[in-house]
Amino acid sequence: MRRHTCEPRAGWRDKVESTGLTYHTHDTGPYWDESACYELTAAEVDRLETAARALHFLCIDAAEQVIARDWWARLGIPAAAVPAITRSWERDDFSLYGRFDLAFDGHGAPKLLEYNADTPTALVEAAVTQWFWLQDTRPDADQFNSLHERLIAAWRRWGGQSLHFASVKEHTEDEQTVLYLRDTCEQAGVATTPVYIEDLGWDRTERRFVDLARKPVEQCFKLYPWEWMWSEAFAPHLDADPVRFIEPAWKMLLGNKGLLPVLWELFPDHPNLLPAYDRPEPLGGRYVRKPKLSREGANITWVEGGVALAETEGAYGAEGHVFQAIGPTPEFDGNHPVFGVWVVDHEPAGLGIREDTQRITGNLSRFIPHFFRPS
Amino acid sequence: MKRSTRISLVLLGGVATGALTACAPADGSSTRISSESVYTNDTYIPGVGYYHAPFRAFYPRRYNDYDATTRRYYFGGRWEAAPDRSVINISAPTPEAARAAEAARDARIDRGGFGSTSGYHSGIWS
Repeated sequence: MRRHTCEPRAGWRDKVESTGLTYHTHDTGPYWDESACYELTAAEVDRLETAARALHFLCIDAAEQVIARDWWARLGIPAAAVPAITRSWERDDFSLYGRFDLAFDGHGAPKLLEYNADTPTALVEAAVTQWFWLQDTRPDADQFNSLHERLIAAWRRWGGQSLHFASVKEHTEDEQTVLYLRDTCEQAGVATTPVYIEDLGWDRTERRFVDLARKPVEQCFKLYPWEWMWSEAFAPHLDADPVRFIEPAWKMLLGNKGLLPVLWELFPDHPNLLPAYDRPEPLGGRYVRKPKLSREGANITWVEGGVALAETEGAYGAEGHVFQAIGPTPEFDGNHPVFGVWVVDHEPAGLGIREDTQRITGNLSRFIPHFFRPS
Repeated sequence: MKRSTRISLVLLGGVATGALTACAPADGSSTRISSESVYTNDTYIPGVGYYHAPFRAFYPRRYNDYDATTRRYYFGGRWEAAPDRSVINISAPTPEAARAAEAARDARIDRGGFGSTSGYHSGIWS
């Protein structure tokens, strides 16, 4: 694994915007950063792919145990959500995608940091923008990225005729992510209808959700966390499953950091897992503390020698924490990469690398494109 | 080869940016009721009622609905001893009736029940 310094393409802003990545720059600096790129070996890519496949099915096995053993409290899942989760699990409701964040130094096995299984983002840049970057800069090289075809294939396998797509208002990254997913869905022959999550209506007479045109919403992709939905005013209406959502309710189990100690308990010493517990003591003084429902690296505490060396802000933590051993932390010129391996329709499908000068990857970390040379 | 062989976009990209717009009506039950649309007798719209063409408005019961207890017929919002004999079986609602029907449909729909948490968290999901 190598990190290269690169000359950004002339007009790179226009180029990435034309691929849908309109959110390429934060207030504090670049988000899409093509002044660098990562070169992996084919063997390293194979290891990431193999790890993601194994971890996905480990997580499904662990979720089955959570259901079988009533470990809901360990995951901080509200009681009201349990019947809906169980029903969606028993129906095997369709799941489109997820993204593993892995710690990987190119030497040992990739280690699971977390599974963004419910509302993963950074998709447009991983699937589209870095693909066009590769065409422009290294057309003879390869990239771990078959996301586009796999998304279209997944929608075809899903087999529905029409689908609503819901996202929050006035959030560019979400809107672009959902627009891209609609794009792949339309290419699979499915008619799509957008609706903002805030505009979803509940028809009291018909007892169903409707969009702004009062059209019934029966199948809906939502880029909105399940745990938020269960805490909001419409939550009681979810009891009767009036909508089949994608991602389904059972993905609440996989996207929950409370699953990390469950995984370690069920599969101790698995090469792709880091030791994780519901309490810090087994880890001594060196660990990362994570809220069970944290997103975007919020409220993470990095502890070494019993001292908090780094801590991020946020609004999470009331639901409880888990404690995870610190994984391999490669450093390139002061940057720490995290490897986001995408899973589409239960199969590994691509890679997006984000890096930060801080040890904790947050929502201001930069996306760095990658390539590899076939062996 | 692990990478996509071809990526084509139909919605995303420069021309499609901002394409997330309000939904277009797709079927009769969701089409806006207007005085420019015509309806036949007993056309039912959930939350609004049955259309009575001679009276150009929607009512809670079918046109000429018969109540065996009182032995009366319902039309135009009232009960009478004899059924209405109008030859009009299709018409457009009056502007007032269309507005009232729209208001009735809106009144039974609650909105804003999802999305409140998103304003509390500044960052995006994961």
